[in-house]
Amino acid sequence: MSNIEIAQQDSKLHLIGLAHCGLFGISEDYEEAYLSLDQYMMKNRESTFFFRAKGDSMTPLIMEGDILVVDASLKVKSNQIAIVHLNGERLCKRILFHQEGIILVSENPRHKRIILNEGSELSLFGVVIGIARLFI
Amino acid sequence: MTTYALIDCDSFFCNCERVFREELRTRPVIVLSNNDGCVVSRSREAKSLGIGMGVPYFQIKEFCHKNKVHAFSSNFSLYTDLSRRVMNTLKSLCPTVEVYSVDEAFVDLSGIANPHQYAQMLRELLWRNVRIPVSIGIAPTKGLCKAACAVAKRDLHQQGVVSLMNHHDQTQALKIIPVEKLWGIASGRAEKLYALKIKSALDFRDYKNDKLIAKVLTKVGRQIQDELRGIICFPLGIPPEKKKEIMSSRTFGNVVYEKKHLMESIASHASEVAEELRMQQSVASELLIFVRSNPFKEGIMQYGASKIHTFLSPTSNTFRLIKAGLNLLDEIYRPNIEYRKAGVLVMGLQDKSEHDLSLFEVGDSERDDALMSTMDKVNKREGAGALQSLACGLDDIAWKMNRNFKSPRYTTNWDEIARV
Repeated sequence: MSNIEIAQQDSKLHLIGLAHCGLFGISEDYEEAYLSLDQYMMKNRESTFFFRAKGDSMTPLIMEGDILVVDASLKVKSNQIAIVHLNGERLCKRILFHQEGIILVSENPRHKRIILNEGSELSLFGVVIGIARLFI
Repeated sequence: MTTYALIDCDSFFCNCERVFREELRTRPVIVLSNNDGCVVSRSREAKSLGIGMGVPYFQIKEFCHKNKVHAFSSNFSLYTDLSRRVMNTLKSLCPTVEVYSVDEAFVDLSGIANPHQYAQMLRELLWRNVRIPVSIGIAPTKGLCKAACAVAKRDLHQQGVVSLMNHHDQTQALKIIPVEKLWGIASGRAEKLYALKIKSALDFRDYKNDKLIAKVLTKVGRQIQDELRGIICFPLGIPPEKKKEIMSSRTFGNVVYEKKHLMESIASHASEVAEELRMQQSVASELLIFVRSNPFKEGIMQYGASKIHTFLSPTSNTFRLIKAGLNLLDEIYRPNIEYRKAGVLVMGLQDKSEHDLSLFEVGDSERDDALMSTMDKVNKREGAGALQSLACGLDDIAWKMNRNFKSPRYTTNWDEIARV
């Protein structure tokens, strides 16, 4: 639908003109917001935190300097990547729920897996739901 | 039946710092005021070491070092961001939320089948989503909610939620709360209440002579008493009154001698009050500035002065306020003084929409207002001070604050997010 101007005169309606604006189907009715990366990468704005990756333990999946998008509201499932605190130290690891307990796995094979023993204190900060990386 | 709840963040500033410093989760933590002056927030561990609220840091520096107390300078970008997250989470789960302060909110839980259980859910959710621990007090009035919260913080067996919905529970709780700890009772009044044999909150609630209470504590004190009796005097969601005066002042990080630095300080404070004026849609008819040396320092030339400018047509325009402030400074500045503090106060505030027009002075034009509102928008998006008057100075300057232990702006600046 395009602009229709209607003028009221002598209590009669006169159609003055019908103007086509641009291509068929292009009009304000179809205007939507820009696609938002915020919306795409944040399921829950209030529980999403960003971290910057440091070191090479998660390469090649996560490179040094990548922004980690972390949702603290999620419960971690086995094989997901998460930010955890192990004895007060913040780590980014793949979490495996194994029969013998929880194992923290690095993507980089040169880093050893960490098998939790009884004395270690582990708490979850949040699940890494994605990374953001700019090439330039 | 009306059911209110108060959600009160535990040691809020300290626990904001801990979100990104998990290793401090069980260690004593304190947060210091502007300029690292006084203690403004204490973790539970710091409280049990006997560190008092408002204590000057220099007095306990040694003690903190010996007891491994971790001190932070205040990081308001971080606290504001986490506060917003807490409040938005509450707003998504409760129909009526009154944000009472940066770390407290009242919510309406009337009509919810099991408010205690709902509050526990809120508490767990805030912990999981924002990593902020809270205590929750549930009661029929705000005054009783405050008391319930006090019990929740004191008695850890309650797991952070205390309901005072019936007379018996209210009586038990008020028995253990000293009257001077009650919401709205100025500690200076406590002596007078002791003289009336009012020691606990319960004594206060059950004190029969209402007129005498009104005399000793004024109307607000009487209202608090009624609130403890279960009578609502402060309904939820009534917006707080607009401020009648706005002040911005600060003690300098270093001593300042030069007029140039004082000018920058006055201009910055004027900008701050102007922004706050616009936020509450007020205009000011008077502006006061003051400067002073350090009265506690011996052997220096002491000086202090203040002066008022009256606007014939009230304003909230940053540039008009700066100009008036700098003119006043011209009049009160004296050379060779060790200046320690300067500030700006605006008074005679009126609603922008209602203020009187003047015949003798041109008021804020629409064009000025548009500029100011654009400036506010840019500063909101880009961070405070992104756009400011050149009078506020460019370099990072003598008069700005000491913040020796400030943590990074983990959630509001890309260059400062935590690394892992």
